[in-house]
Amino acid sequence: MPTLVKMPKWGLTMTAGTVTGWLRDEGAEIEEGDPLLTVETEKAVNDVEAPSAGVLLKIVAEVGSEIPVSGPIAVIAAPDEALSEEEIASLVAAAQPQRTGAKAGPAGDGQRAAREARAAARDDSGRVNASPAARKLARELGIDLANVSATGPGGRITSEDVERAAAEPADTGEVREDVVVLGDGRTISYLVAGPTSSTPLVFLHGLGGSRGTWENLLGELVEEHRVVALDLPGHGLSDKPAPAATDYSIAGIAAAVREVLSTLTLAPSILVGHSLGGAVAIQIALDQPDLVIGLILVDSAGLGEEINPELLDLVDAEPSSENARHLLELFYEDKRLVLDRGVEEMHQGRRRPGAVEAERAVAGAAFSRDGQQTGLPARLNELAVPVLLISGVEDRVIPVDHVLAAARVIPDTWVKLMTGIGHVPQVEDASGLARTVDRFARAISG
Amino acid sequence: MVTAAPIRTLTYLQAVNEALRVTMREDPTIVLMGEDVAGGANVDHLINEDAWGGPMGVTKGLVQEFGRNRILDTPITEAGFIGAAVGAAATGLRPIAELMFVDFFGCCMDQIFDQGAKLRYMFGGKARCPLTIRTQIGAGVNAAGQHSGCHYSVFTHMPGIKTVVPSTPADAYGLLLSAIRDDDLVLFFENKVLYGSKGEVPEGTDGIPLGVADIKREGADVTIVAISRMVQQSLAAAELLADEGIEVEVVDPRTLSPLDEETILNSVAKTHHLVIVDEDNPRCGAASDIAAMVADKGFDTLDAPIKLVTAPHTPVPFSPPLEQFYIPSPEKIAETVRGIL
Repeated sequence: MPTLVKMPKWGLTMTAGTVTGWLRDEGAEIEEGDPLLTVETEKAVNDVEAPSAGVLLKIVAEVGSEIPVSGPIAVIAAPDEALSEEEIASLVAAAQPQRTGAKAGPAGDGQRAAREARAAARDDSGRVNASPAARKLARELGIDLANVSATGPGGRITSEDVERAAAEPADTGEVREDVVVLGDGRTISYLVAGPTSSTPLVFLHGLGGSRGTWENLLGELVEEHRVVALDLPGHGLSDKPAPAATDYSIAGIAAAVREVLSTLTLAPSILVGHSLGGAVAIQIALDQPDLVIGLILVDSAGLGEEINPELLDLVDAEPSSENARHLLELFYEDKRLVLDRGVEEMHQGRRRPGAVEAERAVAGAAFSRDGQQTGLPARLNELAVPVLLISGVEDRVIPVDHVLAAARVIPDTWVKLMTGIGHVPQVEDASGLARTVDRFARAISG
Repeated sequence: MVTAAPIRTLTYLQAVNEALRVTMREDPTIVLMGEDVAGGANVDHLINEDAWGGPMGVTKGLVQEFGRNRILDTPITEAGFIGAAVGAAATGLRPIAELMFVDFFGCCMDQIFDQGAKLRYMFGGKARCPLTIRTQIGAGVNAAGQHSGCHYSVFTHMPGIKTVVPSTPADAYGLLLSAIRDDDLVLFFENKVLYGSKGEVPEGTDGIPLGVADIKREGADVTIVAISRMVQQSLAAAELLADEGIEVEVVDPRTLSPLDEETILNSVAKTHHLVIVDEDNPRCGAASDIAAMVADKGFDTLDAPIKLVTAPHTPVPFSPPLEQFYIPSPEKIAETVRGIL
């Protein structure tokens, strides 16, 4: 059986990828998992791995070509398998994405332009704007108009919208970005997606990061899992009050995240923390165990004492593109992942008003040149939920040894060490990380 | 078992003329009276000449076939000849009166409204009024404010009057046959702009029943109910919208009284959207009457507000550009449809 290699979907928003280079030639013998080619998307560049072993029979996507997600890239034949040109062509043709006409333009192509579905309008009393026909149909079908998006003029729900809502499995949550307003007035930006019936995975990024760091990983998980990614206080699109006016300690951030979990009724959930976000996750699990059914700690702080002072130097230095590049070089084992665009994105993020001040305050409260000051390692034995410990073996920010030490004291642990990976597995090997997260989440949510 | 009649192509004007001939041949009690309908003002030597036959020539040739006893030129006095026609209808004839332009109805409204329309009612069913009043409507020929109105809404408002608004030669033919044969007062509105339009008309003498709408174009996305010439404007709008993937259903009620509510409601139940296109003035008009009917009986089928495309609430302007602006255009209709989808 020949295997068709298709363009993967790496992020929630990825629609296509550009082939930037082939790592193997036609005719090469390959093992499953071998990197075949590099693909660049708007967000990252990554290797596409061989889905099966055999011979790289045909390269379909030339270097420089942009291929839609699931579009054909290459054909792998089983060893000793012979395929005619026709057989290859029909295999490739079957994978060509079908054009759908839903977004046709208004002029002359005979396709009715569909108005984009959006939240229905409401009047001052909160009454949702729905047509008479939509109301009658919703009544008959038992559909709550509050859950129906609108395509009618002025945000009116039409009977067609109700029919569509009725036809959709109620369970597929679409991607939504919004904010939670905390009790003290700070806004916390978040993204939520995926089926509502599954246990929520709540993602907490690291120092100086944003929920964007999870983009590729969420893309892999969203079909099966409810995913919620936050911008921690002082980070990303969340509010960044002056350090004197707020609490940027691990405990302070944990309190904000707890408030978000409760406002969005996400508890109990599985907290996924990266680096400093891992320490926040541990803090929440210790302080309020009933909110959490499991922890996934990715190259996490809070497991030991050491932290690379170079990170702290870079946080203290004046923000610049050069500085951002050094940070990414410190993070990633594979330097090909350090893209100009990624550098610029990080630099621009740090130039947001209040961002650097917040970042330094967070770093100052949690870390020092003498090591981490989280106070958490001594309490790890109190963790009462299953904990998946993940680390890149080549992590230069937080040593991989912390995982091994923590595994000895945390009562219920899973451990995954990822070779060839640095501090940010969710960027360096999103697929690999996704498989591990998926297995753990399924196992502990029963 | 109905067998399809052979088809011929006629203009709207020829279709009216033909229907008059067909009915007058089958019923000797039918007389036609009005200003200039013979075209010779009862001048002997013109009987066999090429008489005028009305300002547009609609009744041309009838006086030669049926003679001056049945094709009667009248003085320019609507009160007189419409009154005479009502009296003739009440006393055994089946008259057809031509009110040259509907705008002149003020001169004969007592005869129409308080006499003809109420005869059957006032005499407890012992009297009837099998009178058809043919009249011309419509803007578009620069005939100015006193010769260009539609005003069928005024007559639709009145009990005892049937109102007929044909939009094609076939409808003009079939509906006029039924109007003349009907035993009640019928106002038959011929749109002067449509007189030259051509269309296929069945041979044969079967009328089209009054009160039965016709779906002129089928479509799934929006219903346009259009009256008289506005059917043609709406069909043109439907072509524009088809290019954008919008399927328009054009419903022609053909008669406003009686109104085929069922066909309109069924169409709206299918498309969930309704636009009504009417060249008459908007206030208390046929369009708002149909809108009210659907809002009442078809409320739960609607996905959008009912939209009306009508003339403005003014007389018809003489200025040709203003007159064109006054008449609902295919572009304006299409824009209205886009606004509710």
